[in-house]
Amino acid sequence: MTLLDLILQLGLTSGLGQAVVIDPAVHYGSGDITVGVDLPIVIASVRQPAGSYLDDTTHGNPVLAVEWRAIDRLTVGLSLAPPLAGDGHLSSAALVTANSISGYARPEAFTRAFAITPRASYTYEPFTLGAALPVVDGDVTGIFAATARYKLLSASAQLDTHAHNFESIGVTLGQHVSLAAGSDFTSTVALILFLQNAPQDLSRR
Amino acid sequence: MIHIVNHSLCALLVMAGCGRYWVCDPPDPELGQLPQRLSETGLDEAGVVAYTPRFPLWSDGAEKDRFIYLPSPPDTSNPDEWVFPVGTKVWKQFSVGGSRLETRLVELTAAGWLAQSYAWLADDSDAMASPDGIANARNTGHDIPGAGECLACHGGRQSFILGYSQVQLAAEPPPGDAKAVAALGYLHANCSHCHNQTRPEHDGARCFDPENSFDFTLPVGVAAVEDTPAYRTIEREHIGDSMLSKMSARGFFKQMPPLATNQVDQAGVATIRAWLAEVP
Repeated sequence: MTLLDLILQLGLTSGLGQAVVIDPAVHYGSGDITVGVDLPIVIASVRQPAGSYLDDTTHGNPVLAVEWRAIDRLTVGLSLAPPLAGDGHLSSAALVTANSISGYARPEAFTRAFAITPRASYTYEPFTLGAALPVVDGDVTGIFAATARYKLLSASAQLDTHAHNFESIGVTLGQHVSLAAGSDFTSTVALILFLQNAPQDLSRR
Repeated sequence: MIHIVNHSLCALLVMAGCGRYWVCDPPDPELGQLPQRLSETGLDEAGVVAYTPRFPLWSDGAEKDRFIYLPSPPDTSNPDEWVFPVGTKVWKQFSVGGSRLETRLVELTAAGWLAQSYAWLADDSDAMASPDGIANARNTGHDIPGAGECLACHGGRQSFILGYSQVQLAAEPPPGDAKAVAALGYLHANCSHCHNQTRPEHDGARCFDPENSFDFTLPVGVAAVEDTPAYRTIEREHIGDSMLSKMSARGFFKQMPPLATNQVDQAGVATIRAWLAEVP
């Protein structure tokens, strides 16, 4: 069985399109406080009504984040996302596709509205448990993102899960690579495979 | 982070060389614009005539009406690829449950072929240009294609017009066994606009340029079933079962035709199956 056969058998091939989200992130840490910014880049092939596809590359909202290691294992944080994502019909469709992909964990990145997201995580090696509650345009979005990470093979391999109102669960197999540019600077690159079909309610946001 | 997600896996496979026949060029704005209202396209003017092809394209059971305006007769020296004069307009109207949903227009201007879909207003007074298309129009399940999608089918033939041709308009059906004629006509109408060996060259996305040597054209003047490209293709490639499987499936990556249909044409599948049973 090929990977494509597996995809077809799992029924994961319907949806609004295909997209790869590249999410470069840069963080600066000083003491117990870390600040960072990331700018999701969406490379999408967007489904047209009759079933053909158009290609588009755009960017999501920049996400500014600050985290504070409150106690040894507990980290709390806040992220702000101004609605500066790429515009235009095709870009909007690309963002909708991206939102259906990673909106589970980060709806603020692709929603065309100002978002503020408090989050917290607790680390007990090799596990990390996290939660986030995005507030978009002053309204709680109804998306509660719970994240559990388990380091699989090395410091850079992780298994993530995300819950959307605890009704549908997405599973992520990921490969994170942290690049240290200096003692205080890090950037993150990750390769993540979602094994969850696109949730239409999220994708229509 | 790089998120590569469910159907994105397909995208990766595609990028690895699986082919991207479903990706279509967007319309070239330099070719010009068609009117915003269907009522401004000339559909009601003198010289517009209705026609019905012998072998219709399956459109999920939608009722279709077709009209053409020819400023002068087409060049029919190649009976399989008529050359239409500048000013030619062809409309196709789609109705579901008796309600007009969409009228498509292709028009040949001096700059080239233009295409547009018009979505009918709920009060049926006119139809408005819908360059981005509409999925599941008025909750009927009918999809109005985006302007860029028109090329997916029409761009695969030299003539650009698909259902207005000698084989489609002839008073008599092509000679041969009734099952074979029905099947070959079906393949011609539903498959040959991509699967033919005389597709126009283009350098954009390859939505109408499949990477194979299939040919499902039903040429004019064929004397016997064995002389048709479709017969030779099926005989040479042994694709009968695969073809039926794709025709009977729906879903991205699985179905044929890949565009503009969400429902299996059971009658069409039965037509092909009955013919294949007699192909050695």
